[in-house]
Amino acid sequence: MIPPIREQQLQIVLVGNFNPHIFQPQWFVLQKLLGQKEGDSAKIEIIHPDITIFNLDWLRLEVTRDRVVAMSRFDQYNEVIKDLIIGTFTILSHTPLKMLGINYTFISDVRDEAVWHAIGDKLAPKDIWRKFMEKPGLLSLTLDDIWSDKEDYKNKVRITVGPGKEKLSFRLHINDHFELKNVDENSLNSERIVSILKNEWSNSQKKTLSIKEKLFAELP
Amino acid sequence: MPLCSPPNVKEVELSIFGNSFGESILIHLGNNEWIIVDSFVDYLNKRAVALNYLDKIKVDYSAVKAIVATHWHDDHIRGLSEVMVNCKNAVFICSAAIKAADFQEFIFSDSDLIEGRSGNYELRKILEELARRKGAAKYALENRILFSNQLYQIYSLSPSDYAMLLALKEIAFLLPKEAQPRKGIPHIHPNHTGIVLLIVINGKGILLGADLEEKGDNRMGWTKIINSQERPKIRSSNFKIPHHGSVTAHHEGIWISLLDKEPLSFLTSFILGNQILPKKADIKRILSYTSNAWITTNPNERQKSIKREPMIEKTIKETVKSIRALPDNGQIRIRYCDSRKKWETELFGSAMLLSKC
Amino acid sequence: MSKYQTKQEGTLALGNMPEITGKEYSLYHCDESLSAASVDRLLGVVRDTIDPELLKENSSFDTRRSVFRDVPALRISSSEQEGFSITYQRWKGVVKEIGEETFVAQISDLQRNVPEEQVEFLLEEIKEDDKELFSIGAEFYWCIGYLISPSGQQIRASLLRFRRLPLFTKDSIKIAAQKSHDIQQNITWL
Repeated sequence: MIPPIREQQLQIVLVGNFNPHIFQPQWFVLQKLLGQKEGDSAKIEIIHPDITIFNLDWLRLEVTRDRVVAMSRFDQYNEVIKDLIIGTFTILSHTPLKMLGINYTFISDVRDEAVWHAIGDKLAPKDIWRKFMEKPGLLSLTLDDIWSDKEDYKNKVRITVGPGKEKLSFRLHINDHFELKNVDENSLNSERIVSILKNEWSNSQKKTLSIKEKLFAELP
Repeated sequence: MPLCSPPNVKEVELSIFGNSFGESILIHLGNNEWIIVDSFVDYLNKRAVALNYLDKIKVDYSAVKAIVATHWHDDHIRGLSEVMVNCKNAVFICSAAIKAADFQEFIFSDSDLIEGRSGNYELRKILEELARRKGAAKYALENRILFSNQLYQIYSLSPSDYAMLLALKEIAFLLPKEAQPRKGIPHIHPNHTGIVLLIVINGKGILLGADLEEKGDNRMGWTKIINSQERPKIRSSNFKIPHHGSVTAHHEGIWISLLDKEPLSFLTSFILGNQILPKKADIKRILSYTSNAWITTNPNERQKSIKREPMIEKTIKETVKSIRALPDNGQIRIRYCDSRKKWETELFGSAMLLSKC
Repeated sequence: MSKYQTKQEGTLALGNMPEITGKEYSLYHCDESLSAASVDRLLGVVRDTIDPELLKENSSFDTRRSVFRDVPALRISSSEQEGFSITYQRWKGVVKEIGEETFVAQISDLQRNVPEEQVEFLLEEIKEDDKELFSIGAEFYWCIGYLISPSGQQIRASLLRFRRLPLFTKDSIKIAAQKSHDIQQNITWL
């Protein structure tokens, strides 16, 4: 049964070396990666050499020295966020990048407590655990698939499931992870990561949708 | 003949595909040698229609000898890079304009960001593939022999020197400048750099008019071709009507000087917004020259819309003025039957007689 | 007088911290060292140092690294995205023709293998920020779905947004010229 989705979020995560205080709204406006009005209405949390965080209506951007996270709960903007990341690191082509994550989080409401427990039992059967725990409950379950080898990079999917923060909610997190092979710290791998994002984006969307549909279909 | 039957070894075949926006032509020259002229993509499997057809008739891609990009408009080039990658023995033939350093610089400057098979993207991928396999390319100019042997000759009749000069001037304006936004290749009007091909097989001529237009300038267009002293003086019995039958590509001299009487003529339709080609007047004009005319899709047929969920349909209605789907592909296939000494025409998909439009 | 509290009135409580928009920020921009701290100084605002633990929720920031020591103040905005959307239909389109009141585009469905469609949009559908991007050949996304508010209310929504691609730079032009040259070396022009 596929429960109704209460919330969903896309996160594009880049791991590398960054200079956070470049990533401010007006820089994006100057580069024409955001419109003027959009940049003007951005809500800044902090801009600092170690961390930058700002929000648009549809985007939250967090940049630290080793990570960029672009996230949104508005899936109409998924392609826009992808373009924003591609555009940013096409301009900042000298940024050292190592890894890319195209990640989704889905939070669903569960009908009632009985179903909620049934989901936990299905994902992590309790028989073994009851031998030495009084009332075991699933907190979080993470599975990794095997690495898939491409010429220039490797890719794997990590799935995490468990109860959501709200009562009677279920959380599914899909991390489609890409890592460069033969990373030379002195070479600039921005182009390689940007190329992965461009070429793998469509497949990643299909993969995520397929995982979500198949997993939810298995749940009580 | 069923669609999936290949031509006999000695049988000449000409297949024209169209869907009211795209155009692609395959020619069997004989002895399992094929050329592909232009390309568009089948929406069902997102592959070039030319490759889909070769699969259907079980012809190996290694049999493709040449791939021609008559010009770089979206409707003629989408999927051509995929054809190039798969047809490893093919020589690439294009307008000499594409060889120009300026134009290449333009192609390489932004095509990797504008995806989705635009002209830039396709040309870039084609050139990258050629470089990767250290392949060969030829550029087409007026009255150039592209291929010649005992069985067939392939000539390019355009673009003219003057057309090339104009194109290179226009291309100079396309060159990227710092702080300029990235866009696709805009159309260059009129379409004077397109390649017109004359294919002569066992003495029989096939004239492929591409999208070459006519402006009454004797230095380019159809006037230049018709008046040329150097062109092969062979009349064709088969004619791919240029630019979707538009009057802007018409020249009476084509029918008088370049073609047999009542040539077998074919064209693809083109629909963009309120622009529909061929117009009724164009159809009437073409039929005054030949009754043997076919079209890949009916430009006057109202296209069925794609069914979607009610919420989506409702929102579409509230947001747009009009929406219509492109029609299914049509194919006109003409084969020369040696025993009967005549051309035989078959129609598949949306293809039909022009007189029935 | 600034709309913000001044030094004389003391520090601001966390929950009352005003947000700063991008425009306000850029008004105070004068050099490379842009920070909330410099803005605070200009505005005459003094704040408490923030416990990094507060950032942990809804954030990927690794708080094991204590980077806030040097930050005199941290302004937490209450601008977390509210609500979310579910998209049922997505297209990618290219502008083919521009008229006086409408434009025609060719769109392809990003979810299903269906024929491409030609659509006539009203020019008023183009939002202000996108007008500088609008031209023949410009690409856009079109999505239809629902916006769901925090209270659960569903509103039908259509989003038309033009693609933003990075501008040409001196470097990118040079790279293109070099690529083109390299490619030419490997093609035999007969």
